[in-house]
Amino acid sequence: MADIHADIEALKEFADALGRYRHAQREVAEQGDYQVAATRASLEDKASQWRSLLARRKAELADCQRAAAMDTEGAGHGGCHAEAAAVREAEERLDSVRRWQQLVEEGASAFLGPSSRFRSVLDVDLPRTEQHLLAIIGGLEAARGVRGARP
Amino acid sequence: MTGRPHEDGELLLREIGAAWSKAQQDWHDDLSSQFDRAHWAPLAGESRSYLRALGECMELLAAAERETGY
Repeated sequence: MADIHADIEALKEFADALGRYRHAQREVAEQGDYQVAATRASLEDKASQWRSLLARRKAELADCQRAAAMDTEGAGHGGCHAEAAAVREAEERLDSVRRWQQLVEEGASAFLGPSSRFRSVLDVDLPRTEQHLLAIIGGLEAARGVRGARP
Repeated sequence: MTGRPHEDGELLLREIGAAWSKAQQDWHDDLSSQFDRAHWAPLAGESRSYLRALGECMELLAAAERETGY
């Protein structure tokens, strides 16, 4: 048998630490997934709000333009510059939200690979590692027990 | 949990790294070397890769919220 230079209690502490690591990192992974979902929902909500606002502002601009057209003498209507600017603002902000939605989708897609690999590490590899370490500890305890029994 | 999962994860990785270093102080035989190569190094590497990707993703999400928070 190979020489054994191990403090079994230290290895047991490390095995326990691996178990805690697995659970805690799973929470980290879940928190990460939750934040991706929350940001997607938040951006979709913002896009929806800007779409509604854009529609309302376009209607206000159209009303203004109709009123301006009916003011044939051109004396009493101040123009529709403010309404047109409000429409442009809503269009720009909706475009910006859509661009960020696209960027977030690309980022989430790039994150998917490392995320699923890490999930596999936590769900499959790490439990095996813990089992392997416990088997080593069991072997060390058995070897120590045999040696201890020798005269 | 801090609300910044990559930072929480990095702290956990530092803690488990310290725990492994401590265990190694009391375990230095062939089995220890094998465990280090076959189990610890891949675990640490995958953890680092994931946490780097998570950090980049969280930065992107924060920027998206910030830049669309009119």
